[in-house]
Amino acid sequence: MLQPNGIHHLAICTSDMRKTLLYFNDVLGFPLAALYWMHGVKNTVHGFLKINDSSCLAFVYSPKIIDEKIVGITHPATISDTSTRGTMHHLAFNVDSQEALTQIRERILAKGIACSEINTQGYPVSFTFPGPEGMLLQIGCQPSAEENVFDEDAAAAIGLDKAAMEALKSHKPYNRPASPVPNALLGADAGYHMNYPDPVYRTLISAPDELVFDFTQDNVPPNEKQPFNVKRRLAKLKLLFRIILSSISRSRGKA
Amino acid sequence: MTQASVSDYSHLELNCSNMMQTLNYFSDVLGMTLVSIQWADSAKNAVRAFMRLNDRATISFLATLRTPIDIVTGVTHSKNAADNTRAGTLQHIAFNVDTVEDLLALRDRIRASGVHCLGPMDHGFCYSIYFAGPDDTALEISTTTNDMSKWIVPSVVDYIGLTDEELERLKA
Repeated sequence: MLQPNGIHHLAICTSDMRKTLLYFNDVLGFPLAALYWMHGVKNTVHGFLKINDSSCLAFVYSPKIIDEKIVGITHPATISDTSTRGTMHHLAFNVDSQEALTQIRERILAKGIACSEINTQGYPVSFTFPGPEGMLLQIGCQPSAEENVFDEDAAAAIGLDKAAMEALKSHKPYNRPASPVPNALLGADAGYHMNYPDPVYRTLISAPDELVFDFTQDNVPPNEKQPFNVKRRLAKLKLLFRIILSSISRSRGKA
Repeated sequence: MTQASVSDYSHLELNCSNMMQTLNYFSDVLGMTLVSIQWADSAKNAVRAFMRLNDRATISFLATLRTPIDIVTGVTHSKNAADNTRAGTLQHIAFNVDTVEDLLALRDRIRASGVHCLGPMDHGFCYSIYFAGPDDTALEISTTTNDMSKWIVPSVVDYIGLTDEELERLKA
């Protein structure tokens, strides 16, 4: 079944990489997996902590990141509140049994961190505690499929009738065509756009995939000797040329 | 008895402005399935829905009457994968697939849904594709291609102020 099957990593901004890594290592036991300069972004670093073989918790540090939450905008005030659409409400980690849930809660309490009581009626059964820099954290134990809740009134409140809710419960298959699918033309697309300056965006979505691949290829570990990558440099020039062309044609269009 | 430990993410919950649109996006574009929808509060002013990633992990969405809709770039949302938001907030989400083949198939699926998608890009330890989600979320899908441990860089260890003792503790 073709679908994302987990979270590879989340990137969360931090104003103190050292403190944040030590917190999650100490409190939740995640070991350090990677710590490197972020590709092409000055003074910015990426740190990864390992949760399991296919999941990491990642952080981004730059001196520009401000540790000042705007309650109700960047962070919800409490687990019962909200913040801006598209922002994280809370982040929950899974343990495999309710015994483990009780044990881990005691361990976190012993570190002097206040935890809520375990909400045995919750979906999932879980407890909540405050994380670094205003993050709301939770630990839960995923219920079995039989315990999933499908409340028809709640579904109706967001505009889903029973048939629409049922349709969302089944996987929609996809048959991949023989040749790669190109990006939709601007204006004929679904309207979900990444946030780049206009000429850069137009160039990136219309450039051949091989060119974008060559331009971004950064596959030699940073502690090893970096070879002179002709392909990457050529790809950079070609992309720059396309961006300039796109800027010129745009400005002509406006005139 | 072994020590209780975290086995995976349980769920990442996002605030959302149009729950039906969001659920349809994750179903149509990414092939995910709804595993729960329920009231999030006793007053029935908020709804929470979960879409399945695997037997342990989901992504969940919260719709309320009070969710602010104004996005502030650099504060609530990053401009792109290389930009910042406030400390303690999400910069981007990277979902996992197990193979490069699945990554390419999902890229084609995303594009066939009319959503622009960039990549794959080779980041050394993973291949990634990039696209935008509902409420201007910055989304990525990655597949691990190499051992990450070679990516612990001494100059970064110094830059963030970790002592040798702390580094050893972190690696354990």
